[in-house]
Amino acid sequence: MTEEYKINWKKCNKCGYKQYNSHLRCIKCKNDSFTSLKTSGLGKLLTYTILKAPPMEFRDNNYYALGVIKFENGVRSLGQLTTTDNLEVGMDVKPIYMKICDNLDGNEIYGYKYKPT
Amino acid sequence: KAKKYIDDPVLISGIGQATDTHIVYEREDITVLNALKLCSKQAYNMAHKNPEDMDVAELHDAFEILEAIESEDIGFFPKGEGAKAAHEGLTQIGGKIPINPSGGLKARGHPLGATGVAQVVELAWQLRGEAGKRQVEGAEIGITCNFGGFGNNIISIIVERM
Repeated sequence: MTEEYKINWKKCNKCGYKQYNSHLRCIKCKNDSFTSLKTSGLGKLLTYTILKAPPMEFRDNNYYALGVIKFENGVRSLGQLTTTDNLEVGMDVKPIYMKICDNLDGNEIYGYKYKPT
Repeated sequence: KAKKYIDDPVLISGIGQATDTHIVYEREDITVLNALKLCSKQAYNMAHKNPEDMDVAELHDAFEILEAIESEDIGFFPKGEGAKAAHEGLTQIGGKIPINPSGGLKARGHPLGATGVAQVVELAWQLRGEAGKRQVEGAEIGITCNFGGFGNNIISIIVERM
């Protein structure tokens, strides 16, 4: 599975606003027809925090970093970072498809974490 | 008429409510609480007041960043200067605009729905001069900012002496 595999966004056919794939309607104009967009998923770290009291599923890590990523096409996303060290606002990050956690039912959950490049 | 029931009534003279997306990273600017800009403007308009008229404020500081950003978007300080204003003492009792003399949300344990009520109660005490050691001297009018969620539903209330 390539790293770009699931990084899809969509562009509103009416107003052109680019957004997350899960929205059923455009968050700007409420239109419901879209064109799918694919990108590399490369982005910059817009801001981050170190989470020291994680939710139950994530308690095998004592703490981890959570960041807002601004992708090269302008779409923003929230995600875990692969490290808590040497993080800087504005640094380049790339998505890595990997295990995020074991959920409370004991299933392995996969998704993207963002790695400083 | 209220004076029939109580000697020292206070008036809720303005109220506003507005919404925004809950998803912070999809807001136009993650450092702006647009719902607060809208709802505080409604409240100021209804009360025929401006931010400069306020003597005391109770803001929704569930996290440190919120007080700083709210103090800007509610109209007290220019964008980006809320945290600086707090550091310089402009928001303490006796400062330009005392914010959260009650101690704010963490000091009262943030009991969610009751938080908004407690904010208005604090203003009523402040305006009546019943706030004890945390009294803002001569306070005649104040404003609250209360959230549902993380700024996706915000209500502002202006309370003043009658």
